[in-house]
Amino acid sequence: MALDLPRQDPLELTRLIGVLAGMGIIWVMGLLDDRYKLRPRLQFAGMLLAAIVAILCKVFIEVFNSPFSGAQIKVDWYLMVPITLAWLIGMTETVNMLDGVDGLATGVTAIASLVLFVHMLRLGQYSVALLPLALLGVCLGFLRYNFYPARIFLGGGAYVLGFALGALAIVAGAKVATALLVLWVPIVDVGWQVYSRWKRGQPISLGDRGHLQFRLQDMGWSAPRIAALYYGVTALLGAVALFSPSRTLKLAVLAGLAIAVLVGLYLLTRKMGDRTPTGT
Amino acid sequence: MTTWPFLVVFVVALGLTLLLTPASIALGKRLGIVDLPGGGDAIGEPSFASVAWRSFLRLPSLPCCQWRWISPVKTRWSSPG
Repeated sequence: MALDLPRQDPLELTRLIGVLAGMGIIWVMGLLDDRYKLRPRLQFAGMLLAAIVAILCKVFIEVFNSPFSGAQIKVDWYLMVPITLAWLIGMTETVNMLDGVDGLATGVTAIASLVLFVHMLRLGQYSVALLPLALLGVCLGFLRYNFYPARIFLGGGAYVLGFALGALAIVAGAKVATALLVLWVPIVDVGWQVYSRWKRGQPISLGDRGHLQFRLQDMGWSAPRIAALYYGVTALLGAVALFSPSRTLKLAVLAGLAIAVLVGLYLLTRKMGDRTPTGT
Repeated sequence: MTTWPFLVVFVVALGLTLLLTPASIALGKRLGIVDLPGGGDAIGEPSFASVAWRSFLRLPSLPCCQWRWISPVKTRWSSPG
């Protein structure tokens, strides 16, 4: 990062290597998954390996702010490792599951990158802010071909975007709350899918059309309309994350939106029934 | 703080992606690994070139993996989720 920008963190280069190495591992895993249909166990092993490499390079959640008091909470390594693993793998899977409607995962990742970029600038982390900015550029470039009518989908590349977002959110101090808020709708959706698949005895890794974006599509919504809805909600939540000084408001938005999405998904499930597994 | 590093990084990332993605699409189609819209709505017809290319390569079927392709004639890509 020799671009004449001030650095705050002496371990910045180590962490950058960790992010890039993890992304490289995820990229290879995604490519293999596109070429062959990797079993979920192997996909998980790839994500786990990438996350471990990132942690070894000091990309981890060590300190975060309490959402209630704002006090800084420092966690020991035996909590830090599982929390970071869950965060990185969860973000990777969340973005991957979004990649099914034209421009959806790419656009949402672009907005999340923009939010992270602005957040880092405001914290004075200028050199690190280049990373989400680069991710934003890549997403906008790809969106040219991925937006409706899509000529290409991310496929395994969605894993890379998800891992990159997850890693960038913790590479220079945890910004977990910001990333959580921005991606809250897909995260709640993934949580609902895991619960509903478990409830009906379907393997959690076996994909179906139960996701919110697919249910909207099955109701007749066009791909650009679904993408616009997700872009709007993501941008709105990003604005709340960036500009709202009130922790209570952020928590209220998180809770309110989670309830709204879960009620919506419950009603849609009752109306449309469970979705047939697609075999992926 | 100078702004040019931000401009350079953004323009390079955007420009490279705009330039390289069409080549990636072509290469991916040739290798038969371009991911297409999912969820059972999208039905992709693999091109003759990609089928011929795969036959020519005689790609191995590893025990840990299975082909994404169901049929060499007509393929239904399922949702990634």
